[in-house]
Order: sequence, then C-alpha cells, then structure tokens
Amino acid sequence: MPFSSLLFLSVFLPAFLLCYWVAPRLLKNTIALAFSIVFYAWGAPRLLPVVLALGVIDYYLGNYIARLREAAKSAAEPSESARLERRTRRVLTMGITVHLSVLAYFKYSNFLVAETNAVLVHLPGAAHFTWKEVALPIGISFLTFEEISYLVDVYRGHARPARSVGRYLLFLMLFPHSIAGPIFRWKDLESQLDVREHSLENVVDGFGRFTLGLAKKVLIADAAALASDPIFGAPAEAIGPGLAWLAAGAYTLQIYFDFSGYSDMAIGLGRMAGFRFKENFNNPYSAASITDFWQRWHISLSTWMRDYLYIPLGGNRGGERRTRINIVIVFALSGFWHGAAWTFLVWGIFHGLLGVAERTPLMKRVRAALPHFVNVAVTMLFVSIGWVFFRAPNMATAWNILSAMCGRQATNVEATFFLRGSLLPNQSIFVLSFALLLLAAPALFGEDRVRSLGVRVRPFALALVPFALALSIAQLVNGGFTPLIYFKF
Amino acid sequence: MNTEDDHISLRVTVITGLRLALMAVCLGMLALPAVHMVHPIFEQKPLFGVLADTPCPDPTIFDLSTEKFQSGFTKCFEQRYGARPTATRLDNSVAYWAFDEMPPDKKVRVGTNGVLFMDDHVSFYNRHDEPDVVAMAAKVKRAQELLLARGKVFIFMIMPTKTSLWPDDVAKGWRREGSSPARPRAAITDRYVKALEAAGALFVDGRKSVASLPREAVYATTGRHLAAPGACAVFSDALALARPLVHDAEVPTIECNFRMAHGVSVEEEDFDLLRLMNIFTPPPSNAVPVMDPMTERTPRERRADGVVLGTSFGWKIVYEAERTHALRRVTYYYYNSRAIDRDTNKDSKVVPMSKEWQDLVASSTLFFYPAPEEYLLVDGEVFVDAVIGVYSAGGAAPGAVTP
Repeated sequence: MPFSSLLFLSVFLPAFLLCYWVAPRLLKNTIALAFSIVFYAWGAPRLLPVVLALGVIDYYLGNYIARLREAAKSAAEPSESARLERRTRRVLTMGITVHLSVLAYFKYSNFLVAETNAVLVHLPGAAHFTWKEVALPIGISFLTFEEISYLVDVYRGHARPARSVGRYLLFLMLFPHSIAGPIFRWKDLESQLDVREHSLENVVDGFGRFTLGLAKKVLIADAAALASDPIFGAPAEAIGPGLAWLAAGAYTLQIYFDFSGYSDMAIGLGRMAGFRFKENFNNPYSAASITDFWQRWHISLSTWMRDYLYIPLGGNRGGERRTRINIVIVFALSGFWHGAAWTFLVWGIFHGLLGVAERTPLMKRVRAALPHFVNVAVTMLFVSIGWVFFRAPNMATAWNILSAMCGRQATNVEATFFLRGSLLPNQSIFVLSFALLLLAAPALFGEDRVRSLGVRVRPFALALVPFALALSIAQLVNGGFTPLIYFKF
Repeated sequence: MNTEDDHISLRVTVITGLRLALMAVCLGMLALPAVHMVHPIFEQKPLFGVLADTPCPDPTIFDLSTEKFQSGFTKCFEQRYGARPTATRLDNSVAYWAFDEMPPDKKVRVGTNGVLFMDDHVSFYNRHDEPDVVAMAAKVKRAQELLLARGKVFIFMIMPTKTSLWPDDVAKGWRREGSSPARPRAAITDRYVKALEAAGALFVDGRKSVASLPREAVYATTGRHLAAPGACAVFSDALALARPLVHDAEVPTIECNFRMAHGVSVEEEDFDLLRLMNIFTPPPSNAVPVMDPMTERTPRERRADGVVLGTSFGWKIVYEAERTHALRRVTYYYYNSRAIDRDTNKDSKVVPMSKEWQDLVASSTLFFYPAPEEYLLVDGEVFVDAVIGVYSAGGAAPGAVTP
C-alpha cells in the first residue's frame, strides 16, 4: 500500500490519524504499532511472521549482548573479560549472519541461481539447478540494515537495548519508514518512543510535508516517467542521441522527485504522529563532487554504509591504497543492496571509481581550478550517466543507451517511433522545467538564500496544501497508479 | 490583561483556527470519497466513456496470504473511488485549459483551432505502413461481382477521416515529421483508390463527395464521426453508383440540405469528443449542422432493401438512409456480428457465412460498406471475405468466419 495510492490516502491515513489523535497518550504507541502491522501485512503478508520473529530475536539478542558487555566490563579477571568479549562478538556475528542470510535468501537467491545456471549451461554435462523463484518482500533491505545497526550499536555501547519487544517492533515496523526507508537507527528513535510532542502545529507541518512529497511523486516524478520509461523500454535500433539524453535526463529528475518525495511523505507522516525523522536528502543535485553527492543523497543509507561498513573495513586509516579499495567495496555493495542485478553492481562500482578518482591529486587540482557551477554540472553529468545503469533493465540496455548518448545514431526509426506529444506533453514540459528550476536554484542563488526563502514562504505555502493535494489526487485517479521506484528495493 | 496580550491571544486563536480549518479541509478531501462509496453524500455528473468493470474479491485466507485479495481489492477500490468523476474532470481540465491538451493516455487529442481528434485519427495521420492494396482491391471487386451475379449491389465507401481533411490542425507534438522515409499524407488512401479504380471496383471516394461542403458540415470540430451533411453526401454518391445496377426497385436521388445551428444540445453526437474529454466546460459554442427534412419523391414500397455494414461509423449512413427514406428497409450489420432491423429494432446475432448471414444477404439488394479511412486495410474486410468464401464456392457455406 504505497503512500501515493488512493487506498492509503482515503482509508488508511484518515483512519490512522483519527485513531491516533483520539487515543490517550499511553495508547498512542500501541495504535501506531497496530496500524504498522496492518500496513506491513497488507503489502507482505508472508514475510510478516518472519519480520515479527526477527524482531523478537533481535530484542533478546540485543539484551543478551548488553548483559554480556556489562559482565565483560565488570569482570574482575582480564581473561574473563576477554572471554566474555569474544562471546559478545560471537553473538553479534550470529545475529548479523541471521539477518544477512534472510536478506540473501529473499533478495539474492534468484539472481545467484540464475547466474549459476547461466554458467553451467556452457559446461558440458553439468547439472542445472531447479529453483522455485522467491518473491521479494517489500522493505526487506531496509529492515535488514535497521536490525543490523541495532545489534551493532548495542554491541558498541552506542545504544541501550530495547526495554520491550513492542517498542523494538514499533521502531522496526513504524509504517512511515518500514517499506522504503529512510533507514532508521534505534538510537535516534528510542527516546521519541517515550517522549514526543503531539501538537496541532506538528500535525499541520507534517501534513504539509506529506503533501509536498505526494506532489513531488505524482506531479513531477510521474511526468518525468512519461519520457524515460518508453525510451528505456524501446529496442536499441530505435534510440539515437537525442532520445538517449532525454531518457537519462528525465530519469535523473524522476528518481530524485520519486525518492525524495517518498522521504518527504515518510517524514511528514512521522511528524503528524509527533516523531522527528532525520532528513534523507539535502539538494543532492547541487553537489560539486561525487563525495559531496553521497553526503546529500539517501543520507540514511550513505551514513549507514559509512558507519557499519566503511569504518569497520578500516575507512581511511590504512593508507591511500587501502582507502581506495574500501571506497570501491562500499559503493559496490551499496549498489548491490539496491537490487540483485549486474546493473546495480556496475552502478555502485561506477560511483566508487568516481569517488576514488576524485581523491587523486590531479583531480583535486582540476576541481579546485574550476568554478563551482562547472563542478556541479560535471557531477550532475556523471550522476546522470550512472542513473542509466540504475534504471536499465539489463546491461545490454544500459550500453545501448550510453552508446547512443555518445553519438550512436538510431538505425531503425520505424522500430519504435515516439511522438513528442506522448513523451513530452506541454504539461510535462512545464512541470519538468519548474522542477529543473527548483533543482538548479541552490546552485544558482546559493543554498542558504534558497533555504531562508523557503522558511519565509512556508506559512503561505501551507495555504497551497489543499490545492497540491487536490491536483495530486486528481492525477492519481485519472492517470492510473504508478508505484514508487524505491519499493522494489 | 493588556492590549499586547490580547493581540497575542487573538493571533494564537486565529492561527489555531486556520490550522484546524486547513486540516479539516485536507482530511475531508482524503476521507469523503471513501465515505461517499458507502453512503453517497454528494452529486456528481457521471463520466463519459467505458470503464472496464473490476469485480471486488472476497477475502480468503489463501488470497490474503498470496496478496491476491489485496491487489484485487485495490483495483476494485480505485475503480469505485467516490470522487472519481470530479477528480478525473479536474485533472483533464487542468491539462486542457492550462496546457491546451489532454493527458497522453487519453483517447482525445486537442488540435489547433479548437479541433478535437481521436487518437486513431492521429495514428492515421502518422501511418507509414505499406499494405497490399492491389490484392485487397481485387478481393473487393471479386465480392462485388459475386453479389452482382445474384442481383445485388455492394458499394464500398471510403469515409474521409478528420486528419485527412484537416491535417494542418493536428498539433505539432502529435505529428510524425522528419522521419525516414518521408511520405505524403493520405498516401495509403490514394494508393487504395488507384487500386480500386484499376480493379474496376464499385466504390465512392468520400473525400471527393464532401469536397464542396464547408468543413464544419463534414465534421464538427468536437465530433468523432462524419457530420450528417458529410455522411449524406457520401451516401448520395453511393446511391448514384448503385442506381443503374438495380433493376427491380427504385434508387432515389436524395438531397442533403442542412443549416448550421448554434446552441445545440451537448448530448448530440457532434459533441461526442467534447463529452469524452470529461472536462469542466461551459456549453459548447461551435455551430453544428442540422439537416432539413428531406422530401420523399416516390413511395417507399418501391425502393430497395439495404444492409449497412460496419462499425460505429456506419450509424451515420443508417441515419441518412432513414432520414431520406432512400431504402425500403434498413438492416445494420454491426461489427460483422449483429443484424439490427431498424424497423422492428430486432437485434440478432449473425455469424459471417452462417445460414443466418446468407439469409441476410439473400433478403437485401443493396449493401453499403462505409470504411473509415483510418481503418482502411487495418481491420480486414470480413464481409468481403465471407462473400468470396460463400459464393465463389457456389453458395455452400464452408464454415463460419470469425468477425
């Protein structure tokens, strides 16, 4: 049940808000958990028992890890302390292994079996794996990372273990984030489970943020999809440079407005219930380098990767060569986390290599010599090229689009002929131009000025909420439903 | 309490009131459509056009666990969404009034000068395939010969399409220009006409029939099908072509008098594309043709029975045949599957080449096939194939042709 579905907007959300607001403070968490379980069960009923079971296991493991840590700290003998430390680490390793195994089974087993079979086909006499495809449950990647971060934070002493299973399950399954992020950390949310501000101001601000996200998704991202989807689905011989650049550019807009719109909706929903979620985007297309881009894009994922993968791998503490290897590993795994396909892996490695290239002295000098807006433009160019791998259904399509972007002409325009009216209707041109202006504004006028302008116009912008809501619902009803991009991860 | 405190208190009250009002409006917009589905609470003008019926599933444990129920229920809910007519009209109206277009997935295309097109019109404008017109013309001729040998006249009528008459009104975004190979518009129709002429087939090139009429009399800017004067002109030419070949009945000359009228009801057929747009709009202001009553010159009993073959476009010929009393009895053979007796309104299923089909052919003298230009050589000519199948085999029915 995506947030941009009529069922969510017309039934689930009003029912939740009504029940949540009328419930006494003591029951609000219970109401939120009950609605979250219903929400998850609607979208992934078969994984619900697994998620609940993992939540219970995490709860006990977290508490066990905390007790072992305390015991290790207070042990009189250093040998006893070391033994307990080893045991704590074993418990942590076991917990992480369980979560990664669940992720591997649900997300990567189909891919691994298919790829193995593809290799076995070429070996004479080799057996062929028969395999019943496993359905990918929504939100599994996000849940896994949240569960791992909980165990690791408790192990590191950065967080206290959950006081009750219900509180931990609420953290894990809270519906604004449970199926497509942002990736929460227990330590950020724990205190809010006890104390949070329920006020009309929060509700109005939250609803405004939710509507902003809905409008970004429905009015802008879906308009961009009109141009990108048909071209990415067209045969290679029909695509020339113009269409290829249009597809890459449109998808660059689509994925940002789709995913940041979703994050806005999640943050807004949380705010309506009194929660303060961390921002997940910070003008990513104003970034002046790839490193800068990843500090602004899907921030909850990039910080997770930094804290739970890059730093444990050694970070930048092992010399320049080791740092570069770590960067490529982290980006490659980040790409593969997005999906079990070569395209995602290549997308991750592409970003990793760009990150490594930026660290070379030569590139540092070049970037320092260039004006800021040129750096922003070059970063945008490489990010857009990367999105081609991300969007393409397979590597062949990605290469076709990229080679067309490099100048390869269409050889058969009759194969798929696009009319401008269907790819770029006047409304889309208007909406996408407006979106481009929004994206370019921080780079053109300065991020601080744009931000302060946003704060000044906010009270007036709230008056536009009903109009944005009406237009979004109208387009949802009339245009049919398009799912959110990040749901498949 | 001093004045400043009063101001602050008033300000807080106003802001709180505004916030409450905003939330009430927004929650109302979200929840009322769902409430309306259970207990209707507001009137809405229904949408025009066909919505596929989506059944609502019953929840079972199995369907719930496999998400089959969820997906079925979501579809059912979205189709029955309480504010669907209003929301659809709002979205279409924004596209139309602000951007002079319709959303790309809709059937109606907005052209220049207020001309509305159907997506099929635009597809014809951009059509670039090369069908075998010679073979098809030969089949038409063969079917006409077989029927003529049995005292029946079969007239093939090419009904001009909107984009063929008004190509310049197709909006630029919907034109396929600069493609390779570049070919003139309506090339397929021209080639087909030449092939029919070469084969010696009986046919009416409707484009010529309507050439002398003012454009609004051929197609209303807001209409999907030929306007009555245009249909009448093509039908008149078809009757003229049939007249010398019918010996045991009279085929009259008809007059296609009309006048242009404003303020005609939007329910009229000439506004069907406007209705199909489903937008908020004032009553249309464009003039549409209204036929003047025709004078019957000979008794109807002496005229021939006729069958009009075709799709929705055929209705226009049926209406003209009835309005002019040019035929004694009119049967509409609709989509090669239903025979509608216009006198009795009897509607019977008739499969091509079946006994009922042969009875239908045997009972009439004149056969009119109004083929819309945009579907020439696309739909196939089921009636032509059926005639050849039945009568070239000496009248035996080898089997039914699926329409």
